[in-house]
Amino acid sequence: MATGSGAAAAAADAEEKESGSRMITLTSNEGKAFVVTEASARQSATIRSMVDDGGCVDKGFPLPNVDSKTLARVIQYCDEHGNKEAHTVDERAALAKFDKDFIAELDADKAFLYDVTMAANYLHIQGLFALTTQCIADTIKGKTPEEIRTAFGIEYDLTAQDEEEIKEEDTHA
Amino acid sequence: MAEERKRRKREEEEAEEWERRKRGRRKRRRRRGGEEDPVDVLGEEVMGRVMELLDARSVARCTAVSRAWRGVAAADRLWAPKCAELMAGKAHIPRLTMIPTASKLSTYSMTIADGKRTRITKEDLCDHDWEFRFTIAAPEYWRNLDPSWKHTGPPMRRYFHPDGYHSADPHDAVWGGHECTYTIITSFAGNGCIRDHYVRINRWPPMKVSRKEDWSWELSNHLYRYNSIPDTDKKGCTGPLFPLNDHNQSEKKCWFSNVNGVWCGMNQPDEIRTIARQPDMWARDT
Repeated sequence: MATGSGAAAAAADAEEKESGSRMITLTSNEGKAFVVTEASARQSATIRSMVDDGGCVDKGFPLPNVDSKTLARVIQYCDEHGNKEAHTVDERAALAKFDKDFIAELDADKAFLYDVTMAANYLHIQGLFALTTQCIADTIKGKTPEEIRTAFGIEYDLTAQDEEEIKEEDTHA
Repeated sequence: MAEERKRRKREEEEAEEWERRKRGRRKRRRRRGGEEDPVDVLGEEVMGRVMELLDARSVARCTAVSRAWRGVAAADRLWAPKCAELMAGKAHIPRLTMIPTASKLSTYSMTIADGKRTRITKEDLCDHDWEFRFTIAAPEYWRNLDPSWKHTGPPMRRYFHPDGYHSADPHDAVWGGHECTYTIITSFAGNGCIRDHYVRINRWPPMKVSRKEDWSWELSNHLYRYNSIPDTDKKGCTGPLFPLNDHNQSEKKCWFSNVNGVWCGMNQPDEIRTIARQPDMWARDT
């Protein structure tokens, strides 16, 4: 019995090591600290390279470009993708569903969506960046210029000369 | 005096307009929740990444949204891969893609327009080599001489020359060795639309002109047909540098000249001046 639980503990240990046993502290620009697993933090290529370089893991990472609200949301994504396995069909479907709900929520608040996009870009979180940019692209897709202006609240400032140029290029649109 | 008043009025209007825009911009920035301009917030680089995900038509529409959007959406970096995608799998690459000063966006849109062109020009005829086949309606005697019917070899080839002559390969079974000329005929209806457009060799039956999905040409009558042979690897590309529009020729005031028995159409002289400014564009393989 003792050897059995010992083996199980060793296996759990090994698994933990693999997925990142250490905890990492990320600090938002408001000074709020978030403690995440290394596996979760490794979703960010920026942090990953700093960890691999043997940088200041213990001191934590200050993120001067990200506010607390955005960072909390980004970490939510990283936890989901970093800490969970995605080997079976079911697991992958669960992740896909998470992504779908995640982006649907962001899509309702465009300003927040942009903040998360910028954070994903800054932290080089490829999956999250692809998710948010695709969401913005989907908003643009299939709309006329007028509809795009309405959707994003953009002021029309093109000059007559610009319009002339556009008309010339517009032979196929 | 009146001039002075007018000037002052204009200045006032400009100042007002400027003020209005400034206010508008400030208001927009303060407002939260789906009302911000993504180009302002995300910056041009990230917005460029967003537009990479869009199809060509959507990006083209983005160029007409605002100046800031235009700056992002008209970038060569976005359009270069779309141009490459557009040309992939096509039979011919239009010569206008070689204009070195054109942006990738304008190259793309000109290429799309040229791909839709159904009016053939002398450049198209001369730049391409052509496969010649008899149709099933041709007399058996002629069909028996056609290797593509008898499966004895590749189809016969025909060539159009800039001097108005038409020729075949040596030892061509069908070719009689007589002199042969070609003519492009285009006639217009009163409203400027093309009424009739065909290519004719000698006094033989006219061949109507059509175009396929891959931009290749077909000239055909009930007895035989000509198909342009894909030549995307041809240096300097093919076809006219400034294609003719299919419609509204009367508005554009086309002028025509008869060169060696071939009717050539050219657009307005100002386009010719544009060509003259790019002397290397005249360089052509022989």
